[in-house]
Amino acid sequence: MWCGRAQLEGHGMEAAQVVIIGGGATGAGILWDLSLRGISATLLEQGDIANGATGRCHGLLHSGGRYAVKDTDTARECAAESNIIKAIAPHCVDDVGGLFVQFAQDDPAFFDQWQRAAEAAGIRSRRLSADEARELEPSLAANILGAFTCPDAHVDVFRLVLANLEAAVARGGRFKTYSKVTSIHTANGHVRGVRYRNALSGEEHEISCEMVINAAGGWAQSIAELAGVEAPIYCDKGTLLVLNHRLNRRVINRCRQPGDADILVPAGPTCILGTSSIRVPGPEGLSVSPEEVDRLLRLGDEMIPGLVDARILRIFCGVRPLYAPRTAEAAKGREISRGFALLDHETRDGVGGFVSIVGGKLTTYRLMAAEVCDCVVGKLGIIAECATDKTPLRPAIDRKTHQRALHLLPHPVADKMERRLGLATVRVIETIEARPELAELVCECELVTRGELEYVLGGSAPAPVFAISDVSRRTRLGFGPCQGTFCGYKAMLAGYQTHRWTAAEAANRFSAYLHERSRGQSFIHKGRQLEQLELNHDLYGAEQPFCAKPGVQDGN
Amino acid sequence: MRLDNLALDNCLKCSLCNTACPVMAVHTQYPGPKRLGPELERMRREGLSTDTEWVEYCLGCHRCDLACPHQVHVSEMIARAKAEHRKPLIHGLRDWWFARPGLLGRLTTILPALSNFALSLKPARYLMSKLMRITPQRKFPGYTRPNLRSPAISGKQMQHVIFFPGCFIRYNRPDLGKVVIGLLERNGLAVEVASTVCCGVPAIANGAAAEARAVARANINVLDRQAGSGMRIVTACSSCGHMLKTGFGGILEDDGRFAGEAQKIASRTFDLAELLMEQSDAGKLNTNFQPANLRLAYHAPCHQRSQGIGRPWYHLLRMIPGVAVEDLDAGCCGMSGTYGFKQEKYTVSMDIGKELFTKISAARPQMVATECATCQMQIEHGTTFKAIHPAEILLQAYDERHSG
Amino acid sequence: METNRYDVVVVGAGLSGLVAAGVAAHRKLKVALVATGAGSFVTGPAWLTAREIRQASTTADLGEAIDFFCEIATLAGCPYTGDITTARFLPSILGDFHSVALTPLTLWNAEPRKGVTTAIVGIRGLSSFDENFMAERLTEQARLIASGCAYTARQISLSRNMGVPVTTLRVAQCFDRDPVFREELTSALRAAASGFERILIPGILGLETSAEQIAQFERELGCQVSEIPTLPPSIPGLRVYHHLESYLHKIGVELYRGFPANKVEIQDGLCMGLQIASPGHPLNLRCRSAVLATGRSSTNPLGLEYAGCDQQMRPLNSTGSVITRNLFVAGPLPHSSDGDHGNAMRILTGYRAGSLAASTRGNHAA
Repeated sequence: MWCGRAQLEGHGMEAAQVVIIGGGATGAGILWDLSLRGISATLLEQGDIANGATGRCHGLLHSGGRYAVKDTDTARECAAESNIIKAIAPHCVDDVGGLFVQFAQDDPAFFDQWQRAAEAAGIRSRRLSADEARELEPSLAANILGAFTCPDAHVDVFRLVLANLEAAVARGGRFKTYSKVTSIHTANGHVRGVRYRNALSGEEHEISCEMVINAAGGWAQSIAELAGVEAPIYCDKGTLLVLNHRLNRRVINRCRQPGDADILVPAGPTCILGTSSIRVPGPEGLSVSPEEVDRLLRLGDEMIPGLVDARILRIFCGVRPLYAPRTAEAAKGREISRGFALLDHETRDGVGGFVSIVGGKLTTYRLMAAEVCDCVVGKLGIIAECATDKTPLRPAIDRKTHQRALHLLPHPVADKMERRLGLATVRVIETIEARPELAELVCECELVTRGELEYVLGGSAPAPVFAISDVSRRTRLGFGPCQGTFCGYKAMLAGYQTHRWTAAEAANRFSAYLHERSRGQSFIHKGRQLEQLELNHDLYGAEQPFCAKPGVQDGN
Repeated sequence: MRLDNLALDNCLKCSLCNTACPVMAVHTQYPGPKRLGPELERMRREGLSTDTEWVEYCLGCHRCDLACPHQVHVSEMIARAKAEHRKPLIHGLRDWWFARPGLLGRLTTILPALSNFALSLKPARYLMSKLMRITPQRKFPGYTRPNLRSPAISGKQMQHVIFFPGCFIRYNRPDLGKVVIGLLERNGLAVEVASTVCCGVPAIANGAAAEARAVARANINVLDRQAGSGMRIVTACSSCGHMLKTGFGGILEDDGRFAGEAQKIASRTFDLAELLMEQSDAGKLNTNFQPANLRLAYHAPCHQRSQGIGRPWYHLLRMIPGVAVEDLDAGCCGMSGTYGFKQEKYTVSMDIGKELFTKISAARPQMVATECATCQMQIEHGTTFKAIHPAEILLQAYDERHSG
Repeated sequence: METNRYDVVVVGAGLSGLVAAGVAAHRKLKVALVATGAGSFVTGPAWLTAREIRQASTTADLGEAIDFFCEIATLAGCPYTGDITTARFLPSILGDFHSVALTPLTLWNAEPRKGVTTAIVGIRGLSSFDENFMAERLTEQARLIASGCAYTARQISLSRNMGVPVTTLRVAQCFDRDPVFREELTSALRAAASGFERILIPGILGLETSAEQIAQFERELGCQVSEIPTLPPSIPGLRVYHHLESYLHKIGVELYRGFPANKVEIQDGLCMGLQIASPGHPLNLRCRSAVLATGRSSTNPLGLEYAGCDQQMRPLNSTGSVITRNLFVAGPLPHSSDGDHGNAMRILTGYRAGSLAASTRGNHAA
């Protein structure tokens, strides 16, 4: 069911029935859904996977508890969708569970409301006493009054996006990273194709298509303008702090009206504190002030005493691209619905074959994708039902492979590798069996072996690597305390050794990598990470184009 | 999980701890303190299964801690990993005994001569080697009837101190305990011997955390009772001293009242040489030494260095006229208490000590002075030189004057 | 006899502290050195770049300071070479050239030389160094600076199992301890060097080996050999630290290793002593003068009061008054945002502070 891509490309030009713009969770989810329905689709992403809001969020797979009181429909949606995601992509989800904790300083009425609301939304939860809560999470403040459990979880956003893309490719889908759309061609009021530019080579290419889906998140408006239409969004910045080690086993939510710094999510060996809500003009040129950071730390300290002194590894911020119909313009960030809007530009603006999907949240990406695909499928005149709720994104690893992995590698290393690589684990195991030096842990903090690193850099990996931070997104290499100081260098050498890059290219990539990593640390104004940066500075010299002064983040 | 009592956040992955690790220097497969300490600790907090047999190869020498520019409590993290480590049954049974020298001491000193004899029999050592993996290469220290008692107090005006003897002095060398008392008395201090139990270092080294906590609490109760407020506690064994000064290795941190008491004890604990040195700095040291003609080499035990008190024994010995002392400064001896007795670790132990043995042979002293009992054992096992506690040399210097 | 009483107490074992302690010890004073671990200079090759020399050259006594440093480095067994008026291009960890004025001798002969056949020899399994990467980079970079020198990559294998991965530390420790290993390494390198006039290797030539031993090694090798900086543990940097520390110990500096000085005792504007945060209870050292060279990464024992120093390197409080007359601050300042001026400044400030401390005698209680 490859639906005619071959025919379409008969004249040597790229073609697809659908072009998706935006490689975040939404775009990737749409690619998978369309591919599963047998429709040829190509996804274009201007950066690496999850370049926008998806790659800069908490990674929280909402049980819905956060919306229970305010918005039962959304809560119910989240509850259902998070269960689906756990079922179709278990390797992306760390199902740690969560707590909604009542703190003495918060409104007690909200706590009671919460229980009723959770029930109404179908969220499984159990009430705990303060002692029981502290037994589960010993680092919680002494002044808590109780808590509710909830099925919150952490999702590795990069792995999730990659899983969707990989699954799509297996069904004929295509995607290109570092490909920025520069024009959308229309003729007779209908989309005909797009032009895009390869960000690395500068070359421009064309793809002819029948439909274009604008899933560009924070850039949705600028993409819409290429087709001469509008997709009004409102950019709301959220800042997140990555802390050096886990302070909590589960997701900890503050049981009150949603506010700043009231969620602490365990993410691999780190935990992430967030977030904030500040209106910004667009998705680029973001910065974080020391005051904002201090405020987040103080608020976090109310939940976990001592957090104010925790070492911050990295500060990042992303924008929530929220749908802003003209009438809601006056409202502040959180009040605008977290729901999404599917804009059919044929009916709105007379441009056929162009739809925009704006807004939404990570947890409901699959649902958003399904709705978009239903619409698109209708427009293409095809009958095909959504099957993404029932289809696992990846087949499970067989026992034999698992045992082979355990023979070669310590348990946690084997486990993480399997979760990241899936069936490709066999290939990496074979290389390690042939060359034992490939068992070396290149990233000691995230347990990435040299074998896995070479695989990710090699030609058979599902998502090509063009930069060292691309490696990081696929393996979490460099996400630990050294922030790539040591492992990034070895990754650079690996990129050279696998013939991906010449020596000069490798060295440039590493410079760029150091620059990016330092930007994420540049907003940290105190604490041990500054010393880590100084060590990095000592090692690679002042000639490197980075500094420890507060900088501006654009891109990652 | 407490936020930061181990200074995990301080680790910059600089690997300086690895450069100081004596095991890493001789064992090519040993992952090293950076991995077994902060990296495993971080993974432990993530909830991963971090157990590895390699933690058993840690000496517990604390050199990693001393080498860390940012004071990460590396060896404490490894000790925690040891406590959670699941050993093979044979090692488990052996280490159960090794963790309890107090118990062993109490049993063997019921009939010390017989015990010593039995423990030296070749068939017995053979069985121990086969059934318990205790290396037959080493001699066990001899046990003797425990007769260390507080001497009668001669003068009410004298300042009182309480002496924490530790298992080796109590069960193997009570005469050394008397030497310690003698030194203190000759410096105007009245000594009471504490009826304490094992300090707990062997328990921690062998992964017996519950035992370590139990003896710590027992010791705190005894010292609470026997040592009046402000009374100083004196140790002559570096490991005991290290343990008391670090609040029993920090293992009682969660334990409310005991944690506070442990801190108080830590603030009042002094190594014997440290105490005498303080007297010296205040001009109150008894310097009535008979000149001697002695060429010594001094070896600072790892648990002495980890107390951060300089090298007081080295300086004290040099005060004796005619005594020349060379500071060997040759790293860890490799014995580390019970470590060197373990069959699977014997070679590592001797490899680590090689540098020290070579330096001793090059120095050709008349004797090697070192205050740690197991360092003494290792030196006598690995070289042809005799090892002696510096306190014995000092007391002899006093006594000869007296009798002269 | 007073052991915990010193003429000068130096806090910090980075280049500043080591030089300051050396200055005071050379003046036959009783010196103590308090440190937690090695200074940050051990991360790299411990060299002084031309840029650092330029930045530090605003001061007249730079030459004197560098001369002193070179003197003690030689006495310590890790001689430096080069001088402050010239520089040569030496390979860095990233395979480009840095303009270096002074460096430990073992790194000196790695500059691009036209017409000199040079091999870059890596060790199989040593994953923090890639000889092919280095060779390609250096050849290209040499072309860019018009020093056409071709570097060729070679690799040797060692017979013994050095673990996975092999690290520079493991190799260096074997080099130090095992003469059989040294022999094997020598013959393997000799074979790889055949046909070349010079070889460059990653920094592995031992932590404890002396200059004579390395010279001997070079003679046995039969061709010129030079080290290239690698990822930490940086053996060349650590070697300098190890030798300087041992040298200071040999000439009578008392070393207090492993615990920070966390308090300065001040009376009437004079530093009477320092407190070391030893376990249990602090250790008090009394001194006539002191040097604080604790570096960027630590908390200054003077605490929050400290707000910079004056031209005589004395610490000032926020109102600009001198906190102590006989305590001097050297090296990069804690959490300084000025940017680090490198090893040259560390040596210069250490030299100055050491000299000032050596000539200043506070009066502490007898």
